[in-house]
Amino acid sequence: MRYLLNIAVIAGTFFLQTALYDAGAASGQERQLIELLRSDASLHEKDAACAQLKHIGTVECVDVLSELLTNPELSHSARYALELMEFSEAGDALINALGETDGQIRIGIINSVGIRGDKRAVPALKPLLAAGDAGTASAAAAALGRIGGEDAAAVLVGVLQTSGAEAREAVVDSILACAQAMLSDGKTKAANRIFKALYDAADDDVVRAAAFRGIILSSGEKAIGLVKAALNDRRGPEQAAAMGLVRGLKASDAAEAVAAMLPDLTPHEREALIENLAQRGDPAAAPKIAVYMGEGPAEVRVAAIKAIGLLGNAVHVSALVRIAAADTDTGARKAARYALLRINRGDVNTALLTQLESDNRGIVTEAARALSERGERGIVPDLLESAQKLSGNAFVGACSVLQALAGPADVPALVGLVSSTENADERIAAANALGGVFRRASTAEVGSALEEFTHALRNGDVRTRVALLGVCAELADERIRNVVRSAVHDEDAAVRRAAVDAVCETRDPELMPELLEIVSVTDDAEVRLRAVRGSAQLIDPEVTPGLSDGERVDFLESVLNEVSGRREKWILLSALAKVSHPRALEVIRTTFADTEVRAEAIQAAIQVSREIYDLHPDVVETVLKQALDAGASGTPAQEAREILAMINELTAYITDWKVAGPYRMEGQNYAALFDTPFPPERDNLQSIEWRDIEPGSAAGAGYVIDLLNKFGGEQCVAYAVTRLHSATKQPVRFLIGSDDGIKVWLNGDLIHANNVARPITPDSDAVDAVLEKGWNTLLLKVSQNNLGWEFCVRPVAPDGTEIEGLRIDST
Amino acid sequence: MIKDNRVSRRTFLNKSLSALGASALAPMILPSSVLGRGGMIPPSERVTMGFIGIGTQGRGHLLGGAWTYLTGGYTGRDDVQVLAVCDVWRDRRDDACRRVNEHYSNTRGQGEYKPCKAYNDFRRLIERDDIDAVLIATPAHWHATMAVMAMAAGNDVYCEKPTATTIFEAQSVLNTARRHARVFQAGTQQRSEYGGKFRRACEFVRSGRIGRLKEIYAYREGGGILWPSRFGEGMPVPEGFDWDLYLGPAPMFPYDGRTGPHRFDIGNLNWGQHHYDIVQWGAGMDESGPAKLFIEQGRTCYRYPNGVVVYGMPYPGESVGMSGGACFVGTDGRIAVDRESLVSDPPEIINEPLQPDETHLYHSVSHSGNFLECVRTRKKPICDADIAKRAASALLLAGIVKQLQRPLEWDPAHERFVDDAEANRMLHIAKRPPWRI
Repeated sequence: MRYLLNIAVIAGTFFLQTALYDAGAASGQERQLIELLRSDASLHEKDAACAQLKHIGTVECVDVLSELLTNPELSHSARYALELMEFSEAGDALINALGETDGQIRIGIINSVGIRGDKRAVPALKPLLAAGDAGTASAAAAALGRIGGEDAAAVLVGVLQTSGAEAREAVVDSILACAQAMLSDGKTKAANRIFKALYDAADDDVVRAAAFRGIILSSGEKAIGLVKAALNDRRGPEQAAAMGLVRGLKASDAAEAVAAMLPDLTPHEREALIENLAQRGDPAAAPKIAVYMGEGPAEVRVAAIKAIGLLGNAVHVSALVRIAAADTDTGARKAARYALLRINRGDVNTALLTQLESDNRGIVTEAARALSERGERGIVPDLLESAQKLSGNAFVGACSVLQALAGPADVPALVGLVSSTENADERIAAANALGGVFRRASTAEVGSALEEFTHALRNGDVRTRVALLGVCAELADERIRNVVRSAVHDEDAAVRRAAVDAVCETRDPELMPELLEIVSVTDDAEVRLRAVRGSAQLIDPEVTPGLSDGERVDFLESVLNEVSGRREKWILLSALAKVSHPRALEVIRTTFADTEVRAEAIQAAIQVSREIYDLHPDVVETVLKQALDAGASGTPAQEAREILAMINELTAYITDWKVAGPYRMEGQNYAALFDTPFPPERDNLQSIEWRDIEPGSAAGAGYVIDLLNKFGGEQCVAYAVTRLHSATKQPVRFLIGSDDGIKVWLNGDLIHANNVARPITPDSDAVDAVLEKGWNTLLLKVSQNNLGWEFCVRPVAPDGTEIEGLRIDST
Repeated sequence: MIKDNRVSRRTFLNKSLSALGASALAPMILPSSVLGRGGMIPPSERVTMGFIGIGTQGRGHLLGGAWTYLTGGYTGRDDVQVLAVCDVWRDRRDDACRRVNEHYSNTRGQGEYKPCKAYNDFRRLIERDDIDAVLIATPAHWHATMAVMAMAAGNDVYCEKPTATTIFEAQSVLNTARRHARVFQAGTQQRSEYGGKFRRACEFVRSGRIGRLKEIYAYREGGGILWPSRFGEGMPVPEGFDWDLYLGPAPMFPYDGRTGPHRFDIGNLNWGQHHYDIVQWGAGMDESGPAKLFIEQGRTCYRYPNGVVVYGMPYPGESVGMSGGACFVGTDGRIAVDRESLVSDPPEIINEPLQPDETHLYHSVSHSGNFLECVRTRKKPICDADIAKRAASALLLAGIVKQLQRPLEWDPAHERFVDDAEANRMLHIAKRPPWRI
């Protein structure tokens, strides 16, 4: 719709494209436009003609456009066309007009001359630098800056000392621009002379900073010396300009040379220099930066730590781990952790593995964290081997890395670690490493590696079995399932507890009966609560994507029937609220009578209703009315009424449609296509290949028919058809909204046409017609400009009331 | 050869204040502004700022609620002192100014801060020599013009998107930022915000997680700007509103009651730069741009010099990408990202953490924070002017192909259409004097 404002121009453009492929036609078009500009056509028409000449104009149109340059009302239009025409005649017209105009019109022309960058304009612009008004002088200076070159630069430098204060900023800026252009063209010496002259003449910090930057960039090998001098000796704009250039200095030894200055700077300057050296990316600066990781104000330390992450190597690992583990500054610890993820020069992994052997728990934890988050799985074999020799913190640290990095092939070795360790904490850590593998890999991936796991689960000592049962919840495998089922009845109490825990946390839907059994038979309230929580977790689609919504509801209903506690019911109602299925509403409804959980039940019903009201309006309406009858009040009651109102709205609109399209035609936009007949309005409707469409738009209105979602595209039209059955011949009012234009036929008669580009507003168009007794055919044509493409229609009586007994059927 | 024969305002005041003793330099009371402009700003001084445009976006930046992702906006930051606000609507600027001063009075004490002042004309704001940085959140047709003027006057600039409405403007913003050694941050905050989703997506793509990158779905088409018809009956200009300064570079025409921030936009000028900024980042094209532009299925598309094709439409069936995002398609999978989600197919592509030897991109967790860091340290911002130029150009070039409705060839090195005079005429649009870039 945003093109709406510019329809005239855009349409003109489209038109012109067609013409451009035919030189003769283009020439004819240009002649017509020239004639129009010479006629007494309106200003609007002449402005539009200039806009078209911007596209197709040749030297033929320059004369008439140059005449308009002096016209206060059309000078802008002429510049619009001429400004970027590629031939010199356009430039001549603009340059010549400088002498025929004044004030703002001339300033506009000066600006256009500058945009063209035509060096021939320098002599004409030069005298304007001395114009009495600052606006003209500034514009002339700016134009010379855009044009660039030595001639323009010389002219500008010549007036630097004499230009008025108001024009001076433009003069200085343009001198800078000229010098910068020379630098880019390789005219380093000439640029350097200009920058120096400007610097010497500068009387404010802004100019001084810019000129000094230019001097550095144009000083070749001397640049480093200038940067160092500025960093070290000054505290003004030169220093700021030099600082920003550190990252781009060309000399290969620049990083080391500049980094050597760090000790001489103030803390803030040091921080800034470290930041810029880090962005430069040269590791040669690392040794001098690393000194500041543990020295000075927090800002400097954090900058140094982050820089070492980018520039450092394995040598810096131990210092980074120490900072991450124990530094008193939170920012430093955070920066060190990030640096340990980034640092990548030398054998960083070996350096980190060495840290795992530290006696210091914090060091081990940070080294393990870094190894885990770096994600380099290649270290796993070494780690498994060394873990067998480790104990205490080091073993636990190694296991935490394995938990993050080990894969299915490592399962036997990890089972071995669980079985062989004597220490309870270490055993749990090793089992957790297995759990990590099971969480990341699919059951199929770990399947072939489960033999040793299952064997140890069945035949290991009690400690091993308990530890391994602790990670069984992650698996959905028949072998594991069978072991867990039998372990629930094991003679050893510890094994039984571990098996019950595994069932309570299972991700295996095949264990639903066992979970239900625990809920129903346990007399341990805490176990029951955990089983109920496990039930709610198990029906989460992310945990059990293979379950249907119906199966989820059936299971939750079964569990709900076995519990009596308020807390358990809350958990189950929360789970039901996430199942977008009418059966969920039916189950929730059964708890409306339970005063202990009525409020939660009503809230759950509302949550489900919001999701399904457009697909299951009848069920939702029934349940929400019961919720209101059951005493819903306050916000829930308001929400329930809102949904009921939406259902009423939904059922009032026609949502049963068949559609055909999209239809396009070369060279025609949406507005032209609106009046171009396509088969559905030309031919027998029965002969059209109609397609189904579901109601509902991306924006959420259930009664809107979203054609963009169905067809996509722009600059096209589509048709929609349905049938209305009326018991009698009666008047009807169709309330229509559309994005974009819409035509409506009732029983073959055109009853409405609105060729617009607009966003949808329901009921924006009201169309009165007469319904015949029996079936009536309603045909729509909806045009598409760009972005949204949708419509909605509802039939009412002429007084706005509902028409009783109306039936809709698109078939 | 550093010039030594002058006493700048900052130097002079430093010397004078030093003579008064250390207490005169108590941190967080004296704004850096009193010390002049152009040097390094130490942490003990606040970055002094001016805000141009106090509509929905600008007010969010200034006072919070949006875009700075910090409660209280820039006004609420301890490291910033807002000295000026500017808007062509009197009630907006006066209300914003009052809110800023109330906040400072409440948090810093009466008389312990330099008051914020309200301006109608932004030129009076940028000419102040006590303001370090300005934030531009005006209507889109003003952005580049103001940014160029503000930088030439010595201000660092945070500029809302689109950072340019023509290719020439995009170039001019970059050239001015470099020429004056200014920090420029484009308001394409997705590189910093949203939990790093966009950065991670681009890192995965550039690390080859989806194999060789083939296609990118940008979800939105190109955009541009067009002046409207300038003649017709007008309406009385409301009291307290400066229509002339609202129009600025747009041609003068009678007031018609429409004063929105995007009234001269065509296509996706408003949101497009967010999308194309991420497209450019993920494609590794921050220093390049489209080579061939064309229309497919009625939507603007283009091909990079390396053959990767960018479609100005959603990836079929993928909803992730609509809010500022993109979908990257490679030989081994695809990654879609937007403000709400980061997803991949197959899913495990994005589950593995980025390893040290994979491609790591500029890491920023706060777009406003990154801007202020760069103001202080002079390092390169995450959305610097060169990046903004290329992202805006991708959007604007697609806008030109949208208007011309025919294939175009672009030379990203020389930034000209190849042998196409008509297309090259669309690289800029004449501005109303005295405004220029």
